[in-house]
Amino acid sequence: MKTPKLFNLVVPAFCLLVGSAVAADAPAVDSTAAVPKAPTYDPAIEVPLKASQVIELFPEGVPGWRDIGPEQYTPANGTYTNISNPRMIVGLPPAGTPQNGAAVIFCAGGGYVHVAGPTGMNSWLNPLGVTTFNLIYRCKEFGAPAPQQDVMRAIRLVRLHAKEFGIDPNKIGVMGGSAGGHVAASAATLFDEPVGKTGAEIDSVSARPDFAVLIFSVLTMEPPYAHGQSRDNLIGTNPTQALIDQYSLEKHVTRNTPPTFIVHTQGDTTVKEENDLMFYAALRKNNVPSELHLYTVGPHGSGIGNAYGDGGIWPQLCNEWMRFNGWLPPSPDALSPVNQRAGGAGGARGGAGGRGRGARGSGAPTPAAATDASTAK
Amino acid sequence: MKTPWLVYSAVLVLTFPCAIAAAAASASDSAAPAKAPAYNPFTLPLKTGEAIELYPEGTPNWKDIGPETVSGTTYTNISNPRMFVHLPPVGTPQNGTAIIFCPGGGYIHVNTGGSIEPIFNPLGVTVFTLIYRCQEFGAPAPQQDVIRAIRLVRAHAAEFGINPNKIGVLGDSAGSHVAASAGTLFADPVVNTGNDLDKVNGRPDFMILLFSVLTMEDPNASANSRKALLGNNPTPEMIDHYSVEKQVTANTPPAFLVHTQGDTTVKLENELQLYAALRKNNVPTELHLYPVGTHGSGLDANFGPTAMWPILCTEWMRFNGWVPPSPTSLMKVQINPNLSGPAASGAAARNTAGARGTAGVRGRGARGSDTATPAAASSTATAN
Repeated sequence: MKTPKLFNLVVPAFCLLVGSAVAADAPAVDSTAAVPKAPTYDPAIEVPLKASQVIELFPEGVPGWRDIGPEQYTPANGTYTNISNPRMIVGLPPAGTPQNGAAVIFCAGGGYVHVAGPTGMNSWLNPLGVTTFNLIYRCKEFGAPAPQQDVMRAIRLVRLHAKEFGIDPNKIGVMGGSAGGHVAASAATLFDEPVGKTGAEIDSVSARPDFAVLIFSVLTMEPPYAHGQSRDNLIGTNPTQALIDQYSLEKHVTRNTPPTFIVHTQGDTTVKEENDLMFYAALRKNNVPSELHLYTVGPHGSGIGNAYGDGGIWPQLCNEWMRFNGWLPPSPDALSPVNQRAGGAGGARGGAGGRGRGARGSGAPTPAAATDASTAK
Repeated sequence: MKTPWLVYSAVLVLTFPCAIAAAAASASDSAAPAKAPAYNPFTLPLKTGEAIELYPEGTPNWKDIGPETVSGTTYTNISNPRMFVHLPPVGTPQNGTAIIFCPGGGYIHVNTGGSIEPIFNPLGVTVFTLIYRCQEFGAPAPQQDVIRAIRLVRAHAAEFGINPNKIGVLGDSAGSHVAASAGTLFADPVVNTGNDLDKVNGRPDFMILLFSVLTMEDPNASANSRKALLGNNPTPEMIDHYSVEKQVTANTPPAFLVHTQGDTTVKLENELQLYAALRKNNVPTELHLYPVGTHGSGLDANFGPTAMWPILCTEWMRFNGWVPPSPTSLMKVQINPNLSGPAASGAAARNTAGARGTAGVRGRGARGSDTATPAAASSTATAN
């Protein structure tokens, strides 16, 4: 793979966003110098992918990178802290289960303080044939738009390399829990906006996820339903209304927002489900085909297969949703007797293909998307 | 069984119009109330297909609207509200839970074709399909009918094989408005008829609301249903009274809501508005919104995940103790550990301490407990 061109201009813009204290730490901008970048990246991603393989997101240098000291990893809970080297960790279907073409970029939560472990996501999704990419995104040390750049770059990278990765470029979804839901939904809403772009050639690849799964999600930055900690860490303790608006994702839903599956509980006293209700109202208004499942019991982040009764079966509902939409193949184990939408796979709406986003609405790879990807290469 | 209603059935049937009916009601001790058909006391044990009439004392505000017509599963021009019994199939014992099923029909007629009985009967649930009064009477007739149905089932719980604390309502389309009215207006004087049964708790223990008409307020009201229920020019007071979302309190029972974006007849904003009110009042609720499926298509397998709502609903009922645990359950933990007694986490716990505690004071032992409470039992006995 050819390394995309380096664009330095994003660095000063980013420094402005994170404030002068940060800017002082940032390297001086010099148009002839390479973008500063801590680890050396080998642009040749090894394929075929291997389980646990690490794929760095910014081979040209992490935008806005500065030295924040070493990253910490806590094995006890799988938490990554102080991240300056955003990357994804590959999860592959187990031996004997072929990749089915669907990819999920999973954004674990952590209040933008750190990135939690992917608790159970791989053991749920990989056996279904889904290739997972566990995103280790930048957090409070960088603030916005670093996590947004990270998730959108991840989607672009997977789509660009879809063929080599064994992925259908039209079946790339995002999934996120808690603040990770905000990261995932950022991709679902801001995929075409400048905040997710870094000036690299790969920006021309679509960053629009084909579907989004949002779990116990932080979505708004607007009081009274904003999750205070996530907001402080992402946009600061005293954000301007413009920043609040930019990252209140319910304000960015359009008819191009991908089909979305939302789960939350009334029992979540950490992040309020009004986040989802507001987001759903926007999806509904824009006719984005979406499922909303709000359950009664279960605290924040009670996750997969939990002890909270019927809310714990949401991964099965998600499977059915993915299956019906063609992101998973039909299965004799499906709960719904008709487990694939009549007339083929894809989002609930037709007509999306006409917008030049081959990713949208079709289960089959479109030549347009493929061309797009190879051009950007 | 002692059947006090028999006293009434011996009375000469009167067919006077409303004015006289009103007079009769005010002198109910001496004059027989107006009521077209003679009351048929139910016989025990219950049998599937049997009709149980709701008003042994005479249908409130009864008037002669001519004969009822039945075409297929559609009942039109109803003046004799009643419920049809649907028992679990042979070999499946009643599990104590009852569902009073309020079919839809825009308050124009009652169409029982939604056939939810095959979903719930095999679980051991006894279903009572409500044939309620519609546009010929308007509000509050359907509300009186559903709450009387609950009172009747609760009053006769022991004889019917029902746990008086496991009586739910299920509604579809306008039938959801009927069912949700029971969950919100159960203590409202408008549903009382002056009969002894008014003393029996009319609060359902749970509500299942599908593709629901709920609000009477624009822009999300369903125009046909509103016109049939409230007439062409309802007052703002009437609209408020019958907009379910405005009548929610902490005592509104737990609810399970389903709707689809594909329903262009009744808007899912009805559910969103009700959910917001339930949420605000900490009523433990599940909301399931799906993209595809037309109005009332909830059981059409072609709509994929939408048609799975019975599975979700069954698990919800199981977790709440209205359906027994099963080896085929998808849940890892099948019974809510917070069902009885104070609990540590989740909305159910909050509501155990809040709404349920309060409800107990009012003699509503029905709330939130997996077992019948002595209080509820004795109140039932008194009313009987």
